[in-house]
Amino acid sequence: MAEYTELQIDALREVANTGSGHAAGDLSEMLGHSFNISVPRAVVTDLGQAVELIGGAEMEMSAVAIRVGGDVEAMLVAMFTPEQAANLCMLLGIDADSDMGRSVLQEVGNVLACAYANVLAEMSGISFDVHPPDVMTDMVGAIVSSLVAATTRDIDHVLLIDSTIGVNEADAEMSVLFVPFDDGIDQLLQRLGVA
Amino acid sequence: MTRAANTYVAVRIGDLHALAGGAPGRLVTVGLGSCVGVALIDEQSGAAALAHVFLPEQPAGGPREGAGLGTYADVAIPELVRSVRALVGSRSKGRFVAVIAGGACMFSGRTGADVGDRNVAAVRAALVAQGVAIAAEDVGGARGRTMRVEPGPAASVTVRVVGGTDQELWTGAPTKSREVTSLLRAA
Repeated sequence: MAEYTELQIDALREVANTGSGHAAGDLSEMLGHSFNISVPRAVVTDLGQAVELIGGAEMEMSAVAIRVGGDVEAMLVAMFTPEQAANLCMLLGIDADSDMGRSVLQEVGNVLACAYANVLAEMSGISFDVHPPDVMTDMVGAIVSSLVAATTRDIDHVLLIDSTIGVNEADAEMSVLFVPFDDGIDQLLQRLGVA
Repeated sequence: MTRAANTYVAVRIGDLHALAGGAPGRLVTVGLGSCVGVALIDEQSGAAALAHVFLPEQPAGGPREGAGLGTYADVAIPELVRSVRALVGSRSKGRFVAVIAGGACMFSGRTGADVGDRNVAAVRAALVAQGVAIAAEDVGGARGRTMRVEPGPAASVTVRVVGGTDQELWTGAPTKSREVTSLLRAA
């Protein structure tokens, strides 16, 4: 964590903020509500610490995981607790336990992750191919470690983006984890001009 | 023997820890998805070790930087045997049993989704190579698990899935001797 300068962290935070703006626009258009997304916290850390910051390995969460490929390969994982999921669905006037609720949550996670991938591509000039999402509900540790094990790639640093989703002037929280493979964060910082 | 019920050693991904039979506390590993928790217990002394296995085998180029001894099944299993044997010393002949949990398939239909199955297969093969039998197991499925190992004469292993409670998977204490103990205490 200490290896990155304030300038570099700011650059990554800027990616997160811009990504949130795009995601809010996409969601507003898709779901017909007024969305507003802010990023109260964006930190660069290792995977184990990120899991602790999200709430600990045993915490139950729903996750939408998207693999992105291209010049930099990475994974984007949008995660929310059952309470956060229920809260978001309530703001949208949907029952979280219904098929509609699950479908909307998947779509919110998908749109958010895709928006970040697009903004990363625009800002860094690195192109990404976005693969279809995997959706699961389980312990955070089990979700994250299984996703990483399946890639058989080295993971160094990750970017944890806490997101506050405002819907019609009320708020719901979620976490987005950007997991670049190998030395992806360093490549990204280089392309953002702050290496 | 008194044991502080709430003290525990957290075994993180790729880690491996061992506790002597008389040591306080228990070994806990949380969030086993496709990973496999492998407990090795010496039934005679109650010494136990637990590894959180992440991948079936170490890469051809050697382990990745900073990888713990429990990371790869082919390295972790011999290391589990070695660490329990080191605790037991020459006092025990070492009557080792293994209890394993995890190896779930958390998502399907894409490359690498079978890593849980491959982890379980690698753990089984490595245990056979060490001559250690599996006394109990809870593997596969689609749910993540948390595994707790309590060392000691009444050693036990429990497993829970998200939202569930701890279920006993194995215990080294014959039920009869437990009843006798409690009767003696009551007398």
